Amino acid sequence: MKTQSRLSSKKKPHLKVILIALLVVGLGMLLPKVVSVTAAIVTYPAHAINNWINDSSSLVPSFIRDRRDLENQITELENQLVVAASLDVTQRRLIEENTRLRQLLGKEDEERTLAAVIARPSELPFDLLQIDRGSNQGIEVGAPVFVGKDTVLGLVVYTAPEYAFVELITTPGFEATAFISGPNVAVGLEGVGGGVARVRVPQGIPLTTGQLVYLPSVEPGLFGRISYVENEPTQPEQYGYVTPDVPLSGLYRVGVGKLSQISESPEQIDVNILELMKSKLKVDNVTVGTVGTTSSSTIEEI
Amino acid sequence: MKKPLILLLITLSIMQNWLFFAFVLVAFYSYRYGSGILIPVAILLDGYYGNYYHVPYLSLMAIVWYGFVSFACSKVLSLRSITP
Repeated sequence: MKTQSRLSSKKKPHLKVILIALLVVGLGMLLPKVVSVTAAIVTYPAHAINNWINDSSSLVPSFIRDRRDLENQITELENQLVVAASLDVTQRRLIEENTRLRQLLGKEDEERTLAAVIARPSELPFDLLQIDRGSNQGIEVGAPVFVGKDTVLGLVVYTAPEYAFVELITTPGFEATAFISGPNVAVGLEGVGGGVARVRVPQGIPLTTGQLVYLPSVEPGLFGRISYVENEPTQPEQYGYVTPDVPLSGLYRVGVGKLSQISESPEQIDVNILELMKSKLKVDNVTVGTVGTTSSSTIEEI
Repeated sequence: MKKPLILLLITLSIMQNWLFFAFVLVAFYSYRYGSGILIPVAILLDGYYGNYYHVPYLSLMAIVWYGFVSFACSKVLSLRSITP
């Protein structure tokens, strides 16, 4: 005997409801004005309460509105903060890059050519750099190469039309006259390789780490600092190993000067050393706080 | 009295854009009293907002919800009839 399952008999009313609802929706789309007017009348109580919440100055609606407004304001301010932070980062990056580029180009009366480093000592034999400017851009063989405002790295040794090679001062066999600030002595400097140069100083001269080392034959001629001192009391000389402040692996832009910035005469080098010593006591950005004196302290001084 | 009040709250929540609260009320009402009456409420809301000039999405969502609730209830009932 066939029996109708409870489940299928229950499905039919649901299907009927769905079909009727779809029919009503279809009719509504054909007569939207009728549906709108009917809805406006039937939903009037909800509409009135909605308006009360939106417009009333009573406590509860004010609280709901104010809370909603404050939440929207918080979201908007947070978005503005994110945008401002990203702009701030961009702005700071641009300012730093601008400062760095200005330093690379040196003083106003100096002429330097900005160049990008396209190969470093780790990629080239010996302590050499390859830069992306050559003779077509005015690069001269023998010109000094700077990083930052006044740190000299080496000299141009070869120029092609569109690139050049720079031999670093730290190249093995490179010799120069160096001036060590502190003991204020002019000594010989030689490249050791691997980004390190060495100064030879007689025993008895106080050599310590951190002392600045200049190359007075280049204007300006800061090279680096003494990073290690080798001092055997039984030896007649002590050695100071000098490294530039800027790591070679971090170099990506340098400034190439002109041949005129290299002094060749001993007299000019002496003048440069004297200039360095004259400005030794000059310290920038020092501010002196106000000093208060009283009559009693004045009397004590007398 | 509870049914009209909940329906009024559902209508008000949708008007005030408290959609999560409206969803919770709709789920509760469907569980307690069934979801058939929600279709006319959705039709009225669509009429109130003028959606019948475009697409009455609230009405269509209510119809789909009704179908889903009916299907879920039938499955629950069949499970109850099978389990001893």
